[in-house]
Amino acid sequence: MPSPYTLLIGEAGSRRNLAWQKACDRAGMECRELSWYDALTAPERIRLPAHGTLRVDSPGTDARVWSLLSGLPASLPGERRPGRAWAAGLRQALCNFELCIPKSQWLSPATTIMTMVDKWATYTHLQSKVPQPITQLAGPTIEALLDQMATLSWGQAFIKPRFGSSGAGVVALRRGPRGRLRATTPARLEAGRVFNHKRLLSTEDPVIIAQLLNPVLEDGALLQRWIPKLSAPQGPMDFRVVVVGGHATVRVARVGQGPITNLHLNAARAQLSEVLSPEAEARVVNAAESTARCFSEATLVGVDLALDLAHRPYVLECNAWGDHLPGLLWHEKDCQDWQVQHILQALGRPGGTGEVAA
Amino acid sequence: MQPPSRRRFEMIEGASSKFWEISQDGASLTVSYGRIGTAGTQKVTEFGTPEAASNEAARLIREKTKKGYSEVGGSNAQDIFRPPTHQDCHRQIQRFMNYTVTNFDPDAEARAEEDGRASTPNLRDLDRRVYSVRVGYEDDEGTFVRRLQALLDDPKVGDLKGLVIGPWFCEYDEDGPGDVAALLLANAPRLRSLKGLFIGDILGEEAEISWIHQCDWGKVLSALPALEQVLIRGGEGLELKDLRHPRLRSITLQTGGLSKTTLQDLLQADLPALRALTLWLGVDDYGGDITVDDLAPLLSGHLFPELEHLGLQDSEDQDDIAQAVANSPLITRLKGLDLSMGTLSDRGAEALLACPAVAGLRWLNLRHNYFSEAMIKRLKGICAEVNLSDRIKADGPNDRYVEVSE
Repeated sequence: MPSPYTLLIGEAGSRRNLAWQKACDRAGMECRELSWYDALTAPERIRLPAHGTLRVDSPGTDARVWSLLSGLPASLPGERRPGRAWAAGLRQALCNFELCIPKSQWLSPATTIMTMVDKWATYTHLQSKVPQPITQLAGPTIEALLDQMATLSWGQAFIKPRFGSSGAGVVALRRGPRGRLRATTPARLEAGRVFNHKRLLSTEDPVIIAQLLNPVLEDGALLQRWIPKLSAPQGPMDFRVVVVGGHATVRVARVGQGPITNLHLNAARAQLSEVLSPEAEARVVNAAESTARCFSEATLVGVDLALDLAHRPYVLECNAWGDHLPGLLWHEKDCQDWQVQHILQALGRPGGTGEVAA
Repeated sequence: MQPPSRRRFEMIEGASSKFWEISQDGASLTVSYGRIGTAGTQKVTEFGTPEAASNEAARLIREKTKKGYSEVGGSNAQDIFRPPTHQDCHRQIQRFMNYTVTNFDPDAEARAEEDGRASTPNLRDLDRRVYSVRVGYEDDEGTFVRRLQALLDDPKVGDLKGLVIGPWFCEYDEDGPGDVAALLLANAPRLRSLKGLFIGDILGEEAEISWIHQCDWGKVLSALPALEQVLIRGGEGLELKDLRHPRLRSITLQTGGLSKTTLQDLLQADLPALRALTLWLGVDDYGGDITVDDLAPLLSGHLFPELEHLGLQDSEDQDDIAQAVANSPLITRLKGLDLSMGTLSDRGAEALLACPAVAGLRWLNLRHNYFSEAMIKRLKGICAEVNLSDRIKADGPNDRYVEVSE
């Protein structure tokens, strides 16, 4: 029998690539890396033996790759990048990859990756299957958006870019007395352009709020009901559960300084057991696994969830590349180890026969 | 029937919610423990004499108290004279005056307690529970008043010791909770055992603290005959007109910005029993316009004869406030002083160190501060109990922020 093998299309030299490579090394699995740039510019290099597995990782932050995918000129470092053109390019690229390597060899197929990259597609895909905050496509301008919130009688909502993830461009918006507004966001305006920062700031200035929101709305955004989250003593929290092959593996609570809790916004990590009772933890994990079952072809689904104040779980989003949680283990394996084990198991390999998280 | 000597202790901390009960019957001690909501495990131990049993019981209670358990319904003097423990704006209150807070919802199933807030459709176990009334994001206008009316109509309402008013609907609305206040005022005689009232258990995830619109609570508080402790969150539109109460011991106002007019109401109030006063002063941007001079009548010591615990917190002028308190006549009779949550730095600390009366305090809370490391060392042991935690390093005086302002 030929030895197991993976082809990794990822961001050259990234920590993600390194993490995958290390997991392969630990399991004695051969791995060949191909950068996204090479995959786009030299597609003849996308080759894989019939028993191999293709892992398509995030294109990452590489400006050249982003330009190739979106067809737009490179942005300044830290500047918000529009997502619609990028997502369209990504879809095309994945279709091209699929011409080179049949779907059956993909760790997670292109269709599920594309569904998860498009938050609206994810929402509609999961609708009436798992609990989610009510979500609509956001109107194209701040005026339309506020009308929409008024019609829904929502005092508070999240505005999230439809394409991409990572909290970039997300705005937590509240309507207050006498038409007051308050926006909390990592985005900042510099000379009329929107940049992402590592700290959340709030503003009540309607002009700034419009300038921050309008580019996001133009590019396509979701209006998601802001359900009050169960918080830790230090602040609001949500949970990332990494589901591999249908089973919840690595999980982490993210405790934020404000309503947006992404880890790169300096949210604090905590074990679920530190902040939740065993019953609540089980509800979160079960909801994550139910969500992943809706993507049955995907080996990896990073599910973000929160609990409302009555401790009921709801799903915030799904991430096709939600496994970048350096240093976090579940039963002594990291997110990449669990995926490698899944590949080996599927091939009926020793080393792949270890226990799977129950 | 439970033996009369049964005492129950609970600890709710992070994810754990545990109880521990002890009762003595002659020379035999019965201890039960487990998760709250379960019957738990029971152990009976026999001793040679009843004295030996009660000695052991006292030892165990000390041990549990040390671990952080607090007695249910325990109303020892210290608990009441001290202001309520710092209530953050991230979690719904779990314990109020050492009672478990349960949600009152006439539509709730009579279900077993879960780890989420337990809800019951009627008042029960009032020796160990107090109740909250709130609406959630899925409820509509009118739900709150309907729920509160049902609670007031409950036959046991005369035994209710504590009431928590949660979100009422559109908390930022300028009408404020006026209809809630009117309902409580009309029913005040029925609430004859009510010792504690928390108006506005509303979390940062639910509403901006500086947008929570309050109303005039003066008449309601004055009309509740047994009231000892009141906590109000939200300062916008907050009034305490004609407040007079012979038994009220503790007032806490948590705001994003406390206004002069609210302070004036308070300074004109007739509160002969007031022992603890805690004010979150907040920031100018959100209506906090109180200056140190405005606090002079309070600091003169003439206003509230029994006042012995004072909190002037969450202020952008925390150094000036520290100085004013340290130089005030009031400081000599204070037992506790809370200057936490604000922009306190070495300048304010120097004033405290220069004040001999500070050494006589039982406790001093300086949490959330901008001290130098050298100052932290000097402040250690300044009085019996001092909290110096949450030190923040700032680049300059303009880089200091208060804890609650959003």
